[in-house]
Amino acid sequence: MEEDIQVKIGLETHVQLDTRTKLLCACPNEKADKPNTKVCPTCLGHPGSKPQLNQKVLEQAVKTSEALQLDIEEEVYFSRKTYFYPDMSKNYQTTQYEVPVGRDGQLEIQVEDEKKPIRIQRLHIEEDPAKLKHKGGSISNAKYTLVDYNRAGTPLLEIVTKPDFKSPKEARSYLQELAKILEYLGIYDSDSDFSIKSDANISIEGGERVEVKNITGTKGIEQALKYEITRQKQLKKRGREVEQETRSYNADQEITEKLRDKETEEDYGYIFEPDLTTQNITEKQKKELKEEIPELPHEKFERFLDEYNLEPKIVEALITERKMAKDYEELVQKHEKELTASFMTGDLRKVLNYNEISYEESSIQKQWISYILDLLEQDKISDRNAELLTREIAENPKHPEKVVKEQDLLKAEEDEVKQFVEQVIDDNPEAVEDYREGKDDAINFLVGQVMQKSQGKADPKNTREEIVEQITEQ
Amino acid sequence: MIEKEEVKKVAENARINVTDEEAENLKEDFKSILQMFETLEDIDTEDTEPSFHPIDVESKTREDKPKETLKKEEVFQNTSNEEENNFKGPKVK
Amino acid sequence: MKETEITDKEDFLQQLKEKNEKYQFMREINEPKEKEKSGKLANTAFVVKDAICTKNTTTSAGSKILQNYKPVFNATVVQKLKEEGATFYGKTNQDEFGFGTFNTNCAFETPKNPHDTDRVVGGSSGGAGAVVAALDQEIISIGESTGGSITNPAAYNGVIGITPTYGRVSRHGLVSYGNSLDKIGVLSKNIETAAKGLKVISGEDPQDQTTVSKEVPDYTDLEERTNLKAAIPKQYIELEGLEEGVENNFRDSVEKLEAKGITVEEVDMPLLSANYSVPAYYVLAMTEASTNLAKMSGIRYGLEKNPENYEDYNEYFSEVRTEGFGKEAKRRIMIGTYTRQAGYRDQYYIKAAKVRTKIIEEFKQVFEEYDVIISPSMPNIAPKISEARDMNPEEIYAMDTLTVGPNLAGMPMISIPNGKSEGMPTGLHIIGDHFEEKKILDTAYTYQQGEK
Repeated sequence: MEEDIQVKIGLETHVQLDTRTKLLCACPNEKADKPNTKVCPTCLGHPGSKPQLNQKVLEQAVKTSEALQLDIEEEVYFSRKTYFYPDMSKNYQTTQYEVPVGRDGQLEIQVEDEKKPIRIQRLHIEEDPAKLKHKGGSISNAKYTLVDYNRAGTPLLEIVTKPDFKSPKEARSYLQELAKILEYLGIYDSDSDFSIKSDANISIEGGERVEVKNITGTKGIEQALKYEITRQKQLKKRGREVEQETRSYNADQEITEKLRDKETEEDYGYIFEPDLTTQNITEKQKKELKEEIPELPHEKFERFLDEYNLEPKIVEALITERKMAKDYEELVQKHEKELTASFMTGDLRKVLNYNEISYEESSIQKQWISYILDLLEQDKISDRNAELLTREIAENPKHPEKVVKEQDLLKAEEDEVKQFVEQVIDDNPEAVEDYREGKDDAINFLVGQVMQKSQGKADPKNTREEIVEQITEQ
Repeated sequence: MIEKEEVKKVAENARINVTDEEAENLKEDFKSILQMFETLEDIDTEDTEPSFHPIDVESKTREDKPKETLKKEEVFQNTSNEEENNFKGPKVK
Repeated sequence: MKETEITDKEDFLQQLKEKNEKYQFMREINEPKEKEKSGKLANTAFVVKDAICTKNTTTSAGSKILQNYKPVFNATVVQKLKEEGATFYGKTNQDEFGFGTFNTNCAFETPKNPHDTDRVVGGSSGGAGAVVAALDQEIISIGESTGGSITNPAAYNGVIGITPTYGRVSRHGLVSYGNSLDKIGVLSKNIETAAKGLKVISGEDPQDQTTVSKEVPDYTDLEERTNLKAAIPKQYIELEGLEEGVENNFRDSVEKLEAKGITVEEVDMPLLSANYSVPAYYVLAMTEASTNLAKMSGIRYGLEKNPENYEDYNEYFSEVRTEGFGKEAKRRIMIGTYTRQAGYRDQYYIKAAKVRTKIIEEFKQVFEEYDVIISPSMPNIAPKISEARDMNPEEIYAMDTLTVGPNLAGMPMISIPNGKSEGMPTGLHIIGDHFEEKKILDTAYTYQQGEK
């Protein structure tokens, strides 16, 4: 990325909340097998139906605002944003226009070694529309649309930043940090890529702003922005102006595409939502909700660096999941700090990634980890077998002790090793002679022989030392 | 003074088709009705807060507890535009 | 009260059908099949304004666009009435979505006034008023008022109509006109019935979060009250277009109240003049309505077309809406869209909301010294249907002057018959402060003592 081009990026992120019910009705907020099975008169927009605001959504909005250091409104109102689209139950969206839940906060990001605050303009609550399926293939040659209202009314938080990002990397870092915080707050389903969707506003060199919509998850953002910036630079190179427009991110091809020009920017004609009441957020409520917020990622990061003296990269990996960080802290009361950290972020994480599950999702219990750490600390298992063991308990969850017994994974006993070494030395006099003559390779050969005899259970390091000792004594 | 073109734009925003003649008539309606609304300007509301409800409504929310949803027959009883449990709607270009 | 009790159900149904033939006040008659529960309203008939949802019975709010809409649920008020054993006999005709003063904006029939079939029944709950007047049997007729649509038809039909405070009765199940203005209430012949009906339908409802938790007093405990002070807004009595006969009846009513020991005085309430209360009301009503009616666009319910025949969704929506909405509905939707557009929003929508605050303040000031505010319910007797159809929109809106003020302020009000003029009924309007339904019922009760 060339540093000389002045880039300004702002992000508008929508997060689907993981509450049990929708924003304005008590329909279950969950995935369904069949369309239109989690619906009621309210989310179907039936004439005569009325909305009922979900308490949990309000609480989560306040908590998130606290975590992002936003100023929280004392009196919260809702608005109607009126526009016509086949995915709208009421042809108006219940949202917050004039008065969002929170305003003027920030989130600190780190890109390489630089820390930087990103200003957050606002956070507000709104509802998701229905899901559309275009019958006939793609949007452009469909004959009609199929509408599924299961998603209609799903609660969303919209988080809007100021255009503080100077590069796609910064934007990605922000989204990842934001996602971590949201995961810590436990308010959204971090597994689904569709739980977070962003729209980006980009302008280069003080030019027109282009909006890129529909960027899902936290990873696509960098590519989307890189493409768009390149596209804009190309236009300028050719002496053409960048037009203010709305584009859509095509994740499959990793490009941005022009969305159909709207004839005129339609006026949403916002009014205050008269079917919902004003919500008063008292100091007491704010305090109670704040107390429910767990230690946040950046706080934990600093504390772990301080308390456990680990490498920043290791800490980063350790605290990505709240549960792993929590279990770590309990484990290090018994076990060695660095060993535990390197095991959890190393072998354990590798195995989890391979199986595409998170630590939280896996059935691995911390007592099991403790058992393995004991073995490692007491030098009773080789590193290789420890890795094997970890893989086994991740894929077929059971207490590692069982696996150790079943597969005979422990290191050979010292006496046993001594015996094997004796035998190998006896059996391979030429190698011994080679070693004595200064050929270091010979010892690797002898170690290998012992490993073979012990069926991999001997510890290579100890074996080597034992061989050297025995040869020297001879 | 509202122009016919503006009336047409408002109609479009509201998804209502108007013929040229209708727009002309509506222009007159708009004119006299908006004129009626203008007298509100005589009232000094400098230090007045707007009331979006006539009473002090109580702050109300609902518990995050799921309730029964509609059965299929109920979902589709008011339409014949249904396909495989979906509602059939007009296409999006 | 025994007066609402129907002894011969067959006969009642027959009467209902016959009278409806003559006056067309019913949108749909329901012949009750299920056995009702027992309760305070056992053997009492009730009918409901078309816009109030009745499960599996057509609820079209007087509009073609909802001609075939059959809700999958009952409105809370309907549920409450049924729980007390009342029997449902059908839906009454109304102006489309509540947009009207004379029930001449109905997509179905225009009901005729039982006192004179050349004349209107009032609106928008016109059918609800006419049915009470037409039948010999006392029933509970559920109406709805946004700007005066209960007490207007009550006055024109010579019956009682009570509009409660905003938030007193649940709007769950009411097809919305103006969400901060709509109130469901009762029309009946007798004040006891009105009180009873109101008691049953009132109360907090979790399904309508704008309802209040205030306890519902026993309205049926009607008492004579004479130690009251009543205020007459100067602006109402000086209203341009106030018919002589109506004014005379009102003056008689004042004398009657005074004779009972009630103090009656004129007060100055400048914001209640037609210049201010009418526009403040209509701006907010139309603005809210334009968003409420956005949902009628031919998907999931209501008038629909074959979506495959349309090139794009806007075309589809526009065609459905253009065909389904009547003229007045279109007019109000468009004006209401304009008044909330960026650039006009402050001037109209926000301004009207501020004026509303001032109007409420004006009422509250008067209620500090007075118990009730009185006036004629309507400035005229029910006009002839042909005359009504000839009026232009602004003339019609001005007809609502006596009712829009208190409706905008969410105040409770009751209209009781107070005589005739040119053979047509007139009404006395009694307005109370927020949640003073009992006081206005008692005042009406007091007024009526010694009558008959």
